[in-house]
Parts: sequence; structure tokens; C-alpha cells
Amino acid sequence: MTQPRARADAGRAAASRTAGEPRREQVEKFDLIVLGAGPAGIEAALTARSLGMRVLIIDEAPQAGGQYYRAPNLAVQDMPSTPEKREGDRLRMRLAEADVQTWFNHRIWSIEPSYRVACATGIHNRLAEAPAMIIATGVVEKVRPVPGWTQPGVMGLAAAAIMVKSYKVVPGKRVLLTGSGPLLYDVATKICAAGGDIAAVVDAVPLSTWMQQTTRLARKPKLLAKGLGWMAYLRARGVKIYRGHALCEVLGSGEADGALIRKVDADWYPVEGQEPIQIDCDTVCYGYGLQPGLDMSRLLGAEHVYKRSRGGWTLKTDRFLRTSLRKVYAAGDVAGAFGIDLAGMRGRLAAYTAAMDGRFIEPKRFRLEAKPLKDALPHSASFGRAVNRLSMPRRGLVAFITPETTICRCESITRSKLEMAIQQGAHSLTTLRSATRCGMGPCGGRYCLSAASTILREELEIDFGDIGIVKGRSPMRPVHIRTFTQDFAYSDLPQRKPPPL
Amino acid sequence: MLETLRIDKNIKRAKLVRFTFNETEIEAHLGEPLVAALWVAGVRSLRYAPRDEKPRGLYCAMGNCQECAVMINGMKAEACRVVVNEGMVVTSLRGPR
Ligand SMILES: Cc1cc2nc3c(=O)[nH]c(=O)nc-3n(C[C@@H](O)[C@@H](O)[C@H](O)COP(=O)(O)OP(=O)(O)OC[C@H]3O[C@@H](n4cnc5c(N)ncnc54)[C@H](O)[C@@H]3O)c2cc1C
Ligand code: FES
Repeated sequence: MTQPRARADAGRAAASRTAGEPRREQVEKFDLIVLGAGPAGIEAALTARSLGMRVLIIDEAPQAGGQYYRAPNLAVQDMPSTPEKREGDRLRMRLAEADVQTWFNHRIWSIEPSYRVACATGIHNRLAEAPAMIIATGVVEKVRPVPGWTQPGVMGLAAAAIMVKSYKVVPGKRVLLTGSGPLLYDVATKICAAGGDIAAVVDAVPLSTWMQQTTRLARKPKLLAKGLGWMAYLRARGVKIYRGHALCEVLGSGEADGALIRKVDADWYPVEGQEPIQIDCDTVCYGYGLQPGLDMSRLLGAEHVYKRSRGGWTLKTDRFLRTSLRKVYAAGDVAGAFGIDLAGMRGRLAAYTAAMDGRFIEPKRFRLEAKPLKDALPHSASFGRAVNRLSMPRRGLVAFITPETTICRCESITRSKLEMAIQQGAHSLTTLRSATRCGMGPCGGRYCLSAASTILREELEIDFGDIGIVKGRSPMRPVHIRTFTQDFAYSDLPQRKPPPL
Repeated sequence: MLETLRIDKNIKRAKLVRFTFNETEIEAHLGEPLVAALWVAGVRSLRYAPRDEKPRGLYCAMGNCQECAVMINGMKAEACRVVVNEGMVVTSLRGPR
């Protein structure tokens, strides 16, 4: 992060603005701002508009769609149609036709109370204000460090999915896919279908755990069939699938060049006496399921709860998707990683609640139209819950993190550095962050803090729920220095005190 | 074995353009994510981390991790959130940010 410089710079930049150009610090006002234009955000925005609200929807991507309906990259002029693309195009079309303000290519970097949202677009800053917000920013992937994981050629399963789906590029010449959850098989199938060479699919979940969850998974027979279909497809193409094995090291001297996997037990600890198996590959894609991305709500200081069935730490909401903050609602995977099936429904419900709280609709209409949505949710979520329980990374993975393994990629901080700080009394994530800088780098702790939690959990023998999460800081994402200085003075920026120890 | 990592099956892409990465010329499709163009060209090490000076590259592909940060025409940017343009000048970041 480049820090903004002095007011003088800002003054000069403002003075050099040519006459007639809009003053960008002007705040644009709405009844509702929807943060994130995935399926949840889009449905929320469309519903709120239909209920009479003036709506703005913001996304950092160049087009709406979110993760699941992510549009192909801009170089693609024509491609074979897929159900995902058709449905995504349909959503994008509905949004384009509605009377909803859209800010794409706008990265939300700060939110001030009651509620002013600051976005960076290119080097410009743009501000919007509304009394109500719906957070619909989706998920991030759960990662666990292993020796060698910072080497180029190692990436998340989510990244691999984006490469195939949107970049239209196969992630490597010979790819190892490993971790847990449906994304593992989904990505493997996509790479295989694109003609890519798969070294192996290595699933940390032992067969016994799969069996335990099948009754819950069977409540969505279509989705279960999809999963079994992926496995059958891979087997038919001779792809080797290991179950109950986990990645323990990425080999290579600079870039990934092979990997070691080991057999693990039910808690994913390495099974004693079993030698690691070497996998010949040039690319390693791995991840352990999805968790709500809590940048916005951590910054705002909303209440969170730890629930394995929701993917881990998640926004606390009531059944109508109200968060603990006044007129802030949560829609889609950010309120529990339940997947695409529920995203739209939860978007609509959040919009109804926002419209009712803002007196855009009568309670009677709310009861009639929103209650059925609310009532349908718990049943529909049971599949998502089962998937989250299944893919949840188990404790044993911590055994693969050697003292020299980098935990925090941004600041190159190793496990031994963290342990030293813990032994010296840094017993919470916040104190650990202050003592080591782990989580203070440009990624904003999105990846390292959950990994650091596993070290805390191991050293202090406590649970994730007791460790807590840290309050967010502004800017949430790196913002170019000129975004700050061009249009307004440094002193106008939100000034936050460092978090208390 | 694939000849290129670019998935070609019935996909029509925009015209080819040229840009440079650390002064090496690379050909890619106009509008392609920069990180994808580099990846296909075999360039995976994009920057060198502060402190340990080890190479880093694409990790999240969604603008979260900052591992793909590069300099473009003198400004720092994430290679996964920038698209290829004719004549773009890209260089690696090295050492402390
Ligand atoms: C790679 C990947 C593959 C997935 N595949 C599946 C699948 O096959 N099946 C399934 O059920 N679920 C899948 N999911 C889970 C989930 O993403 C989907 O269920 C669905 O996309 C959830 O919709 P959503 O609207 O809640 O969030 P998303 O679709 O994730 O949309 C959130 C949006 O918020 C935007 N955003 C976030 N932060 C900011 C910011 N600071 N500024 C501006 N915009 C921001 C993002 O750009 C994104 O467009 C997948 C997730 C990932 C990451
Ligand atoms: S790869 Fe993570 S920000 Fe670009």
C-alpha cells in the first residue's frame, strides 16, 4: 500500500482539474447500495428496484456475474454456449434493462458509517451514500500453508477455476489438484475436458467421511449426481484419484516442480509409517473449501459467528438477513457459503427486508411475499451445510507446516516467527498481527489470518470460535496513491487509530 | 499433451497484439488478462517478495492476494485485473514495496 502524501499534492491535483469535469468527490445518493454483483447482489438489486428503491450496485469486476457466472475474459469474441454462460448472460441482461445504477470496475476500499461507500476506479475515487446497504461480496477460499507453497505454479482451486472458466487457459502442463470439497472435482473435470493433463486428484477427505455425509447430500439428488458424474468422468479418463491423502510439500527451486502427498487419518494427521508419495507435476492447485469473505463487515464492526456448517466465520444475521448493524443486510454466500442454489433467493429476501425497514412496502406485503422465501431457506441450505462440513480443513494439516514455512505471503512471515510471538504472549489474532505484521500486508490478511489461526489453535489448544477475527482496516484493498490525492485532501480521508492491543 | 495452455476449442479471440515484460516481447490477444498472457508465454515468476526475495506469481486470480503485482507504464497493478493492450510496458517489482 502506498500511503497518501501531503495535502499540497492534493491541492495541486484538484487545481489541475479542467473546468467542466465533474467533481468526483461529489457524493451520489441512493436509497440502497448493493455491494457485489454476483447472483445474490443482482437479485437483491432487481428486487429492491421493483419495490420502489433507488438502487446502486457496485462490483470490481468489469461485468456482473460474480464467481459462478463469471463472464469470459474480454478477448473472447465467441465461444460454445454453456448453461452457466446462458444463465449468466440472462442475469446480466436483466440487470442492464432495469433502472438500476451499476458501477463496474469499481473496487470498494472503504465504508464510513451511515453509509458512505468509497470506490476506486482506475485512479479515481467515487463516493456513494445511502441509508441502507446489502453486503453480497461472496466467498474466499480456505488455504493452508505447506513448505514450498509460495512458489509460482502453486495456486488456489478457485484460481484454477477462474483460469479455465474465464481466462480460457489451462493452469499448467501437468496439474496436481488437491484439497477438499466439490470444487476439486469440478475443476479437475473442466481441465480434463479442455484437454489438459492431470497428474492426480488428491482428496484429503477419507471415504468414511464421504459416506457419513451422503444422507445429507442426497437431499439434493441432482447435485449429488453431478458430483458422482465428475468422479466417474475422471475415472473413465484414467485420472488417478487418491482419497484420504493430503498435500504435504511443493517441490521446486523457485517455481513448482513436483509435490509430495501423504496418507492422512480422519483428522487429517499424517499416518505414521507411511512414506510420502511423489507426484510429477509442474502446477499445484489446492484449497480447502470456501468461507464468507468478510472484508466489508469486519470494517464496519458487525457481529460475526463461527459456524462450521456455514464455512467458518460468517456474518451474524436474523432469519430475514438483517446484520447487527442498522439497515445493513447480508445476501448470498457472505452470510454462509451455501452456494449458487440459494444465492438469488437470499438476495431477494434481503431486498424485501431492506424495503420493509425503509418503509418502501407495507408489512402485509412483506409477510405475503418475503416469508415464503425465509421459510424455504433452512431446507434448501442442508446440502450446503453438508458440503461445508465435508470440506472443512481438519486439524492435522498443521503438522505439515514446518517452522520455516511461510504463513503470511505478503510479509514473508514463517511459522517459527509466529510461534515465538505466541510464546511471548500474543494470544489473540489482533496481538499476533501487531507483534509480527502477519495480516498487515497488501492482501489485508485475507489468506494468512486463517492460517495464523491454525497456529494459535495448536499452540494454545483453543478453538477457532475462541480465537475470533480481527477488525478490518481501511483501505480494505490497495488503492493507488493518486486515488487519494487527486480529488480530495488527505485530511478528508477516514483516519483510523491502530487497533487496540 | 497440449501445444499451448490456451484453450482453443471453438473459441474465437480478439486480434493478436504485442507487449513487453522486462523487455522481452510477448504476443497475446487484445483484452486478455495480462496474467493469463504471461502464463501462456511461460512467465510465471512475476515479482520478488520483500525480505526473502523469492519469486512469486498468480495465486488467487481474483485481485485478493496481490502476488501478481507488476509495474505497468510506471504504475503498480495486479496482473490478474489488467488486460493486455498493444505496446504495454510491464516490469517486475523487486524487493521491499
Ligand atoms: C472459483 C469459485 C467457484 C465456485 N463454484 C461454485 C459452484 O460450482 N457451485 C456453487 O454452488 N457455488 C460455487 N461457488 C461459490 C459461490 O461463489 C457461488 O455460489 C455464488 O457465486 C455465490 O454468489 P454471491 O452473489 O453470494 O457471491 P459472488 O458470486 O462471489 O459475487 C460477489 C461479488 O462481489 C464482488 N466484490 C467482492 N469484493 C469487492 C470489493 N471490495 N469491491 C467491489 N466488488 C467486490 C466480486 O467481484 C463478486 O463479483 C464458487 C466460488 C468460487 C470462488
Ligand atoms: S493473483 Fe491474486 S491478486 Fe492477482
